[in-house]
Amino acid sequence: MPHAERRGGMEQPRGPERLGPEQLPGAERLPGADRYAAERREIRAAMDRAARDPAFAQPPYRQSLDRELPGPDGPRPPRESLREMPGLSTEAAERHLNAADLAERPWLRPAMVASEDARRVIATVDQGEGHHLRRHEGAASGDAARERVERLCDPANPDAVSRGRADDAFKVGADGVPRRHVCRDEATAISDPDAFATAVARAMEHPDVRKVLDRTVQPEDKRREVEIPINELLGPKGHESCAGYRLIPIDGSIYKAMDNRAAWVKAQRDGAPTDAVEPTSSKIDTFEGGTIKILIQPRDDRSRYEIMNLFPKPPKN
Amino acid sequence: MTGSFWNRYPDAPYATLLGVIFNYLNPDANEDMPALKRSLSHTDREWVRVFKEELRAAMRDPGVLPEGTLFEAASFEDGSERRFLDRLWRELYGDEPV
Repeated sequence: MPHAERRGGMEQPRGPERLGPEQLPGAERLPGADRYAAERREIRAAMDRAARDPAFAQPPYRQSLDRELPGPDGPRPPRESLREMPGLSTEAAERHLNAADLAERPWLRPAMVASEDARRVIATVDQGEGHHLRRHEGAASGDAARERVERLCDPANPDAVSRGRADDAFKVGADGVPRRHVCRDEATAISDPDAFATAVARAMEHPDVRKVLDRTVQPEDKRREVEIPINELLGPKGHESCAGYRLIPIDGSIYKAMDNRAAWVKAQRDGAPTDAVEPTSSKIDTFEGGTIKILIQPRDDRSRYEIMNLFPKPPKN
Repeated sequence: MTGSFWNRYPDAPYATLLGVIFNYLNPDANEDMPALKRSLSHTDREWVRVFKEELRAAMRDPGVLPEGTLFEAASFEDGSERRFLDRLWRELYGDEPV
């Protein structure tokens, strides 16, 4: 074995190339009416190859799904949490994912290389009202996170031109024009689809989250937030599945950097000259010791509470 | 206990102000100024009164807020805490004197 790398505490063979969702065969757009079916076939074929070939790396967190983690009712593996999370049946989830137009819903692309149990959770989340799958999962990591924190490109917006204009995917002004996207000084994601699904499923069974989800929605109820250590939801190596970028301060001030970014993006949208400088960011070094923030609010029809957002936060300096 | 200042110390001074700002105005909480205005119209509610009092005090001296908590709550783009607080007051209470 010429190479080996440590992953999940075990020596793993290094394949000829690490298989990321963006590098899968079929990731490029195919012409013709059966473009998406062909794309899915290619992705599935790559998955089959990966399952047969031990030298072909799988997404790392998938290897941790059967290792027990502490929970409110005693230790149990993440896979049980994935299987027991309420939502779509496995068959309905596969139908949803197979019918999805991946150009319109690029955030589903990482699910194509996830475990079946994670795919069910991801399909369930995709049918909900939350923003976390679109803005804080694998498709929103890497360059997407960097472009979000620097240029306010909303990863939930599948239209490349509109996204490049910093249009928000959800918010439209009274004049019908999309509002400018907003983002704090960090853009973060759980970049591994199995880890993302595990974070959602284990969050939903966490006592602090259940306390809110089980409430009856009252007329004046508003959003609530819960913050849980990453290692509590994803295990001791869970931070390795988190990634993100942070805006670089200007003159030592993050306030100035945020102000500058708003001015720079406004000028780009308006096609106007500006004194603002192009924003820059740096990769967040580590999420070890960080948390996962979970925002919960009543659904639009106020029938029940639902997780509206979920994202990792690096440790405070 | 993990989490934001306003979650860890919900009864502390300025926890109401910061928690409301986070829940209604933070980008990650799907910021919604119209919803905040609607909620603040219920002036008979205790938290609405506390919010306004704490906003007044913070405008007089932003230094009363625990360091970094206002930015954590609001992720504002105004360039300074004072400018954000001034804008917030104007948007919520118009020309009403502080």
